[in-house]
Amino acid sequence: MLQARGLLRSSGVVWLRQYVNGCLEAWHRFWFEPADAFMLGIIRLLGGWMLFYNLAVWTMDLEAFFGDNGLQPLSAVKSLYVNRPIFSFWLWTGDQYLWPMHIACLVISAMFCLGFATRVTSILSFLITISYSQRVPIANFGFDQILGMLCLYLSVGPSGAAVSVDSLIRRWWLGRKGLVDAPRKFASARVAMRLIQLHLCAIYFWAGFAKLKGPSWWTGEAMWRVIANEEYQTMDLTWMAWVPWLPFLIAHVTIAWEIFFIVLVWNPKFRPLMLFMGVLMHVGIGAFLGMWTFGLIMAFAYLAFSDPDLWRHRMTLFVRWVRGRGDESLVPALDAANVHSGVGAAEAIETAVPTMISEAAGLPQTTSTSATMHSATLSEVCVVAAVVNDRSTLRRYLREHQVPCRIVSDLNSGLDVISRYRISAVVINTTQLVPSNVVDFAADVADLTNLPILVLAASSQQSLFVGLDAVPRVEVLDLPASLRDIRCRLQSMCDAAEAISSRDTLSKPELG
Amino acid sequence: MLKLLKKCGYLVVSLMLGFHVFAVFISPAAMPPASPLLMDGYRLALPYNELLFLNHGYHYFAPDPGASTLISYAVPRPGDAPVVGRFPNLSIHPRLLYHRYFMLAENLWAFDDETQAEIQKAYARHFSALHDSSSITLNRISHEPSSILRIQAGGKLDDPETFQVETIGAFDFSTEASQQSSVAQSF
Repeated sequence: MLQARGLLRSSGVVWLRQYVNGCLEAWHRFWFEPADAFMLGIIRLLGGWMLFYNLAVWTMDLEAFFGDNGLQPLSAVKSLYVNRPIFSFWLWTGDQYLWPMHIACLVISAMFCLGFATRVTSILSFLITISYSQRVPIANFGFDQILGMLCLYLSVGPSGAAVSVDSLIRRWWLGRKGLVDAPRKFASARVAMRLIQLHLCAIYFWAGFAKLKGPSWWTGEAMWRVIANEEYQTMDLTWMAWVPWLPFLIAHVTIAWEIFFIVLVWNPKFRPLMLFMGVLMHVGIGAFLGMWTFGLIMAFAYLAFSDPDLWRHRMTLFVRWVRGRGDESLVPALDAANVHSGVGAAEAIETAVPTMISEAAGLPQTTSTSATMHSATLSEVCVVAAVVNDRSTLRRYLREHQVPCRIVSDLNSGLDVISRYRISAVVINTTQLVPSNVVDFAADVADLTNLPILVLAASSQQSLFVGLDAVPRVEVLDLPASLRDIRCRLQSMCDAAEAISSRDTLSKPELG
Repeated sequence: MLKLLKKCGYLVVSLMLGFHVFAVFISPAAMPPASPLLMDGYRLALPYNELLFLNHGYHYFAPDPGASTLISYAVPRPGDAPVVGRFPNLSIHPRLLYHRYFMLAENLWAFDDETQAEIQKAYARHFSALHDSSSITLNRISHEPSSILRIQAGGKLDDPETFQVETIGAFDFSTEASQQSSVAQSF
């Protein structure tokens, strides 16, 4: 009996220990698992733009709002803050510093938006945001609250690690040292994203609950009263008086959505729906109530719930689309290449892009003809790299070392090149590529050919490439890696492949 | 030693995050009506929330969307009709600036009487100076949204019956230049 009781107790202790450990592990994963800073970079870009716009609008009436004897006199505002820990540098500066300080704030917010010296400018931007808001408490509304919240969390996380001037400088610096950059992951990025997510949940939860205190939200009239508020509306929606069920429905859906957001947004199945409804609501607030700034800043905060890999991919496509449209000289080049030589899009890109890059970098131009002739006679390395800088760095280096190469910017073009030319190896720089697509691509190449495939990926990201280790003839090289390392690894892989093929008395690896 | 420091750092950061989330959630929870327990929690987080500008209720259009508030003014001109104006008005661009003026009229009434009086005087001084005058009269206008029935019956959003005007006061700054004081006569 005693033995049984002891066993029960010990099993209870084991269960409790496992439970506590599980909770601690979940806490750690939730808050500190390193995350890609890409979404934080996008939020910084958009939030920084809103901050800059906000300050630019203040410029139009700066003295009226911020002057010592303006619409909100300094003495009146200071008397509100007696014995309260409020920070605003405007409380300590006089009229003589108004314009110099304001211009400095504009410059800092522009730097923050572009992601320049972001570690410093993000903190300064937060201090600027709250300083302006606290100085004019009567002129504040929801936009200031959300802007303050976003700037706080952007200063906590590495918001300048991606989509920023800082990241371009880093890439250039690494390129000079012969290294290739890769997306980095940070625990602080996870913390910042989680804080934005939880703050959004708090906002909607309490906004929904507060509405339950009002009878008009129960009767459904509340939404009509918002729509019929002439001081807010920018578009006449009085036609809804003849379809009254519509504002009533919107009122009920708004409350339900706000209250359940905190639960359903964490469910992967419901998340897209909740975010889509939120975007609809905020676009509606912008379009019909004229509060575009508030609607947009809320929608920008939703990006904290997004998948960075997906957005990296979308961004790459967007940049490519803009480049394709923006640089008209490229379009005829692509067309001409297609028409005259009868080759596919991949070759057209390869023959057109070097000219652009050499012009931009001030390097001696490589003519497309010589590149094409060179590739027609030799077996080559196919390099897939989505980032322009990486492509140009690799191209320059490989050509300097007499390694013939065909460099493309996406996986489909890579397959095209592999199927058309005598390729001896494939290099994939995974930066800005969707991991699952990379795995599929590698599997396709391995199925169709016996080419060695070298995958360049940050060690922190390698867990995302699920199934890559099962693909034959694939080797992974950690990023950042020196160009020399890449070339040597490639050489050894090709040597090994050739040794195997000669042992098996097969021909050199090739396709088509 | 380094491991111990790291563990302590991890614990401190975790506790800070926990407190931050508590502070973010407790601030709107303590909007009245609230229990003494919620108020105690609110007071605990108040200095932190005020320092980081997180002390908000997030009660957007709640509990009930009400009438909007505007402020109108009349600047007397000797031998002529007074100059009248109001804010916010739709001629203010961009829309963000319009909202700032809207909030000046809308949010003022949430502050204590003393602050309200001081701010009203500041509004009076600003708009009288804008029209090169030393005296001005301010009015508070409540604009009730028209009901569905009114619109169905052919009413408009700007029907005169939806406006309610209340005089704030007449302000005279003519003596201020010499005495640094002003006279506000409340009606």
